[in-house]
Amino acid sequence: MNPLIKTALFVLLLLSASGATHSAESTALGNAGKGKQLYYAHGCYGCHGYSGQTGARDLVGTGSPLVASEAVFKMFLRQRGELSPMLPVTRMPNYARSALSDTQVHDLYAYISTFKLDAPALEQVPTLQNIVRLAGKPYKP
Amino acid sequence: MAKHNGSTGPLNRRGFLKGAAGAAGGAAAVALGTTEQAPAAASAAAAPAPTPAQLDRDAGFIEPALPPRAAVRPGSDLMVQVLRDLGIEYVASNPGSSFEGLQESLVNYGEPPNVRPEFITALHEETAVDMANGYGKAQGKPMCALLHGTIGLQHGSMAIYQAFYAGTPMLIIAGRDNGFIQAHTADDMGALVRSYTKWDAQPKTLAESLTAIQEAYRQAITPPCAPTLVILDTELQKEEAGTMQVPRYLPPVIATIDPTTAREIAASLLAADNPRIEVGQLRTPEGVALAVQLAERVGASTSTRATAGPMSFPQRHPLCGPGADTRYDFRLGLEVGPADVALIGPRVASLHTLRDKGGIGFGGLRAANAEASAPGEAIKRSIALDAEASLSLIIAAVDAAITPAQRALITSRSAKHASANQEAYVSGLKQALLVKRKGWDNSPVSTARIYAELWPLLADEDWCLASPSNFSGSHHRELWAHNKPYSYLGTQGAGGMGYGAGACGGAALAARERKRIVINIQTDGDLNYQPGVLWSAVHHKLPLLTVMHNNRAWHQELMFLQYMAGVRGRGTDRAHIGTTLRDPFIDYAKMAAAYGMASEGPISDPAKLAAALVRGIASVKRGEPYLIDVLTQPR
Repeated sequence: MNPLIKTALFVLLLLSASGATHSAESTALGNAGKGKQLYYAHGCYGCHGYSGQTGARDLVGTGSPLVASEAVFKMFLRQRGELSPMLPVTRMPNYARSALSDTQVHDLYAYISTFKLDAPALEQVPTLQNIVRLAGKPYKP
Repeated sequence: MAKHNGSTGPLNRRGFLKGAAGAAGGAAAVALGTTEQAPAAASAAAAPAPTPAQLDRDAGFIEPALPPRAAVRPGSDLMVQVLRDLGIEYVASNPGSSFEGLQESLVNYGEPPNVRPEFITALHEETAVDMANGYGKAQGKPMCALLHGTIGLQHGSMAIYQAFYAGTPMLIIAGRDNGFIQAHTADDMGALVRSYTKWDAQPKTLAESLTAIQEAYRQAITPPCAPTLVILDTELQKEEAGTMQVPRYLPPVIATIDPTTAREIAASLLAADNPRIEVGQLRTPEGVALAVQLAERVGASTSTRATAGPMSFPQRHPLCGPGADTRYDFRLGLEVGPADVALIGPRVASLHTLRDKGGIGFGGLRAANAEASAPGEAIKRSIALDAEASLSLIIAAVDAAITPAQRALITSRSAKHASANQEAYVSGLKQALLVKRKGWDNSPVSTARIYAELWPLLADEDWCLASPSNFSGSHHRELWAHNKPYSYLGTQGAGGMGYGAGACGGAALAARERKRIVINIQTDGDLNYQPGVLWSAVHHKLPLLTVMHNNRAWHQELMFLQYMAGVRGRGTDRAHIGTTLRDPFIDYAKMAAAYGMASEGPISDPAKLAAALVRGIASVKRGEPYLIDVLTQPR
């Protein structure tokens, strides 16, 4: 199954299981400044990069429904697997309310919502153009 | 072959020690020509701690008792001559008293002295062995690491372990002095690393020592390639050789397929409308050249693992890629599948059961695991013989059987493959760039941008990426063209940290006389295991550009700990404890400067990166290694 479809189905399942809808909380902006502190303190940059665009799990420009709304985002944080793995994994951690309050999630979401995609067109970056040009050069043993 | 006792002075140390240590029968037997070695007799008593007098001697405060006269032609001169005849270019070592005779010969014997082999000063034995590992991967032949007694061997053991997993040919020599500091000696020193070396010997005479070095070299380069070890007693290094001559070296005879099988394979390649050659990791550059010859002879499209490790098919060769038609009707595998017929030589896992005398059972070396990870199910007929050694026979059979009509078809097919492969490569590259450009102007710098900025500067150079790239995004795999047997040297072997800097130093040794430059995308955690490599690089004028992937953490472990804390509901805000390098941050430019290396940084503005890389490459091309500290995104 297409991974995006699988993710969308997972999100729908989360929403239906929790009865979550767009809450008033998600319509009011959180404190992005506090969210930034949380992003650093909890090491979110570890997988998502300092601006959500690099690393193992970039956030920006991926079309992931998991960050499309705060309600989904919160459900995702809360309902990650809670069984301790026998082997080390680097998947998204679970965030229980005791570890990250609703208010903190609200602020965190506000911060990651400020991330903007920095992906210039290939034509705008001489280095990238150069790489394409080099690919056209004939093979030299 | 009883060992000649060369000591004629008043202090006959070996005789004295026989009584003192109760280990007269304990010296391990030499087992030339086998992978087995007789187990040494257990020592009657544990070695005593060094005495104050011994420690004073070690520190040079007390002069050693001198024999009546020095040897005119010391045995160690002949040992060096053997190394020289074998083509050993470098001997990396951290100095130690147990091989002072050999070291003296290395630096003074021959005309000119200290050349091929040249003594390379390492600041740690792990560095010496990692250097030999990097060199061996790059050149497909052994370099020598020289270690000091039990202590040097144990320091070097981690790097030996990695080299064994990687299947790197390597010659290790360890000095042994059975009368100096007892704790530096063991009856059976090879036992320390026997589970992860291919072969070892502890010869009893000078003549045996010379033969043992040759045999160790022969074993190291015979599939399965791996590190081998010779223990050389200090007395053998110092004894008078008299008129003894260096024995003639006989290269190994590596088992190949028989001529009939070679003809069958050749016929299948020639009869196929769309043959395919899957190319894994071969042993030497010569093997790679033979694989290219065969592919060109029969017009087969090929795969490569050159983006994952050394000694594979040139990535941008016109025949490398999916080809014009992916419906292959005959596949030949060279050390890899899937294939109709695959030649897959022996692997180090096959040695492990024989050599693991202690029953340690290192998981990744168990034969069962190795077989499970091989693509056996996708191989219709597997021939357990070395692919590289068999290639000449197959090529000869192709040449004997090919017809003019087939030549014309092959020429036409090759042209179609070349066009299709070029199109596929450029298409794949453009797709990759759409991903790599993300976060292009971010600060700290994205790891993709480091690799992207480097490539236009390297494309026209003879280069080698010697550092493992698994923690820095492996962006070279999509962005760079890996056309040499040494373009990328692969990962750590056993996945252990601390390998990168040393291996890059060894690759740079291989590069120094060959007008090649070595790139080290250096993870910060890894460098802190062996920062002394920076000094060795400067001291020996190695063409090594180090670009720090400085994310100020052991990042993989940070992510593991975050998940663990998450599933336990404890939050991730303390996961940085023990996984990050902060408070204080480490200044790698200053670290390099302290070792005498030209350096700059830290650079966090990506706009400043390209100019720094230009300066770095210019410096390296002048023979001056250079370090650029780049603050990076975590991955």
